[in-house]
Amino acid sequence: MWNRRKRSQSDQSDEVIFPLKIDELKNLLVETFVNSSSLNFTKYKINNKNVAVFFIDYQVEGAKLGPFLEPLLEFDSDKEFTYQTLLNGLPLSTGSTSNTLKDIQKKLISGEAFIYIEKEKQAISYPLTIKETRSPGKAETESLVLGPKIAFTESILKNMNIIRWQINSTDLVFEEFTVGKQAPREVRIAYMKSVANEDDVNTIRQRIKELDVDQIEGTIVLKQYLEDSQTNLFPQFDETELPDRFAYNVTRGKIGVLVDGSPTSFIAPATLFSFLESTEDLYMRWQAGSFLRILRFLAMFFSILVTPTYVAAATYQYAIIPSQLLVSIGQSRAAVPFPPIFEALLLEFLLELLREAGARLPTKVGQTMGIVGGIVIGQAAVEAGLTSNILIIVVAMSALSSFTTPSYLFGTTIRLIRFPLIILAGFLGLAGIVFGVSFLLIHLLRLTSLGRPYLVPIYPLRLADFNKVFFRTPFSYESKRAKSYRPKDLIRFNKKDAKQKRDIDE
Amino acid sequence: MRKLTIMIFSTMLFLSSCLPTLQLEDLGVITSQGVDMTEKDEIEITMSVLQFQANSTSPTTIVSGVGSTIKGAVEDAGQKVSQQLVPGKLELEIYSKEVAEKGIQPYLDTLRRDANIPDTLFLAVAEEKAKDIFHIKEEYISTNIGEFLHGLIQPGSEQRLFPGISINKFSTYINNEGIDPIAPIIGLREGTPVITGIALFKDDKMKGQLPIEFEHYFTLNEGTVREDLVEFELPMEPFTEYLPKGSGDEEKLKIVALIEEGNGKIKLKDKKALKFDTNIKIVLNLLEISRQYKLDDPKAIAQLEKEIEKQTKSQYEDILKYLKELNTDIFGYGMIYRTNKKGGKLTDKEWDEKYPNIDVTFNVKVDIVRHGTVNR
Repeated sequence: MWNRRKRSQSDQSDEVIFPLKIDELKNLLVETFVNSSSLNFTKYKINNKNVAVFFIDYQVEGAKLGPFLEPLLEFDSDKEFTYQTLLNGLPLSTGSTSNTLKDIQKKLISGEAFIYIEKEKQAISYPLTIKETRSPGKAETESLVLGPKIAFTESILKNMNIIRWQINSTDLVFEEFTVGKQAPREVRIAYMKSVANEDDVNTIRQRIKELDVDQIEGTIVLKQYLEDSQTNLFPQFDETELPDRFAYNVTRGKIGVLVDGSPTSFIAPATLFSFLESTEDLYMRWQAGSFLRILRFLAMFFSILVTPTYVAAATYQYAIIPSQLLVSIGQSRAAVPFPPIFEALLLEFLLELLREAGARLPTKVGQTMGIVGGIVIGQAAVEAGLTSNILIIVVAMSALSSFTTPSYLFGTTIRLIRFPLIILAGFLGLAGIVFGVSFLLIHLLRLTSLGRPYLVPIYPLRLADFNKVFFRTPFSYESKRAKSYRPKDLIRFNKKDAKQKRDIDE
Repeated sequence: MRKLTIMIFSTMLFLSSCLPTLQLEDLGVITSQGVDMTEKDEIEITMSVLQFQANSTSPTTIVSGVGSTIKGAVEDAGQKVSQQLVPGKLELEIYSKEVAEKGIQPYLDTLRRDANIPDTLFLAVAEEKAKDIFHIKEEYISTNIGEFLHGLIQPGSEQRLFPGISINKFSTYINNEGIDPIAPIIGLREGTPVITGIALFKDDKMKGQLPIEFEHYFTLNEGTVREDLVEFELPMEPFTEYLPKGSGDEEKLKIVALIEEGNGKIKLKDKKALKFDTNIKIVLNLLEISRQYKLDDPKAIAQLEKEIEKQTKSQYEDILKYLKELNTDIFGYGMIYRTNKKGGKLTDKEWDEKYPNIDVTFNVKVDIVRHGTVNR
């Protein structure tokens, strides 16, 4: 019943409404158009012909309106006034014609201005769209010390422009899609035609095309719709707001996705390790780059394991604590009335509170918040006998390590994993940690991203890709793209040629 | 499927019991213990225990207990402290001389089989009573007694120096026919525990002892030795031509040297006649010499090497003679004999009879590679 009525309604708006009188058109528009209050409808009489100009005023750029109306109002009275003669006088290009109500309405809301000459069979329109955007600013969530500071903005046109200048190649494809039935949004997938794996491109194309939703809120939401498993804790595509990171991945054969109105993009496929990569590793010398990458990798394990290990050791396996440390841990524990698991959860909870409060508060207050929280509350907690001071250090270490993850989404995942592990450690000791870690490993082994294994290059093993993932080698050794993603073209440059020395003497 | 999963998970949750917790602050962690015999033939255990109290300066307390078994004695001691006594950090066990002479096999047994006791446990013998070592005044040592005793034994074992004899090594040697173990002897000197000698065992019974100065003769024989300080006292006569005149007139030339690298190997020369060769190779770094000496003369160095070789050889021969008297085969000639014997089997009794009759030639090769700058 509902469906049928809806269809009949839309049928009506699909009908050709012209030719019409100007007043009739105005009435029709005011009656059917929900946004009629902001509709600017003006009647002119030129060369004895009634002409209507209409647009939505806030969607149209005022400065463009002048050159649009000028040839119309100053029309040569000798000539016959038709669309053809009018078009010759208009300095604008890309005009289009429309003759159904639906079409007109659609164009109106996207910022086109219409001209209709009475009794004609169609109306012509020109896009005078104004689109309010922010100019590209500095990256906020992913900050870099070296490298370009520019970040994506909300405008997809600007974003594409930035990427085009990062990858100035005819090989770069921006394929356009529209997602969302009720409120459609423009989605673009970017890839290198001669590099990106065809299967991957097809997969993402298919997933976007077959997506049946009313609307999407932005890139991260689209990312969740497109992921292999939505119920999963781990992010399966890599999100970024940095054009250089986007460009780096796209040139290496991955596929980037942009959504209009969203200042982030995402890159597919991803692996567990791609979340720990930063473009800064490339800007550093290879030794420093490798060091930072390994550091981040260790920090991930550290962040997950250090608090649970403390809990396990203080509750069950006291024997793993070195003798010298045993005394200091034991003495600071002796003042605490709670079991270690409760103590650890309390402090972790406190830390998460601080972090969340710092993120929500305005920047200036947020900074003081961090200092006050970290120093004062920590010290007070120890003095009040709520926690041991060793645990303060342990928790601070694990928090600090979790901050090293370049991807904010992945960092959040690591934050979450800690809690079940602490609880397991509190109930089962080291065996619990081993159980938890094994469970995680099995889970990660089964995960896929765009159908590709999540733990590549460790599983399946691709030794040749280790220097792109776990450490960095000098660029002359990176003549190939990562084999794990099966790019069409594996070779980046001639390896032999790169190693050749060119002295002036030769 | 889902019902099954839920069922499995809920059974896991509700039907499993909790692990007994060992919260650090509720434990008395035993770091070292001494075993003595009382007059009534009961075992007396003295332990140094770590107890944790907030703001206390000294976490160590000494507890003792008496019982007919080791575990019983620990239980008895446990009643005297508020915390549960746990052996997970036990690092040193000291036996009184009396106990060691009677045999320590029964005490080792519980140590070896209890999974809570770490394998890194070291063994030692006390000069007299083990409990005397624990009841020293803390002001003589800077840290607590448990840590101090462990430190006394520990640094050596990493560099393959003498005193660290772990429980695994000891019990392997006991069960092995052709070799007998040694252990350090800890005694008190001016109120401070020090290693005073080497206890020589025959299987699990202590038979005799040697002063600690002889330690490198044993370690050299066992494998590669590095960074060990040795002292030699050599007669003066062979060196007279290399000594500048009028620089002193002591009777002995005293030398301190660092063993840069040393190793020993035993070879069976003649199975029937029980003839063995022990080849000792020592590379020395000369650190100290009691008289002025012409070190820039290669001949003088050669002479020094020769005399050290001679002395080391005679020392080895003396030690072996003493060992033969005690009938303990510390150097492990029996093992070499056994591996070369047909069938590879050797009974205790057979070797006990043969051991005093073995004939060992010691070939010592000393090489002084460094003596520092001389012409300054």
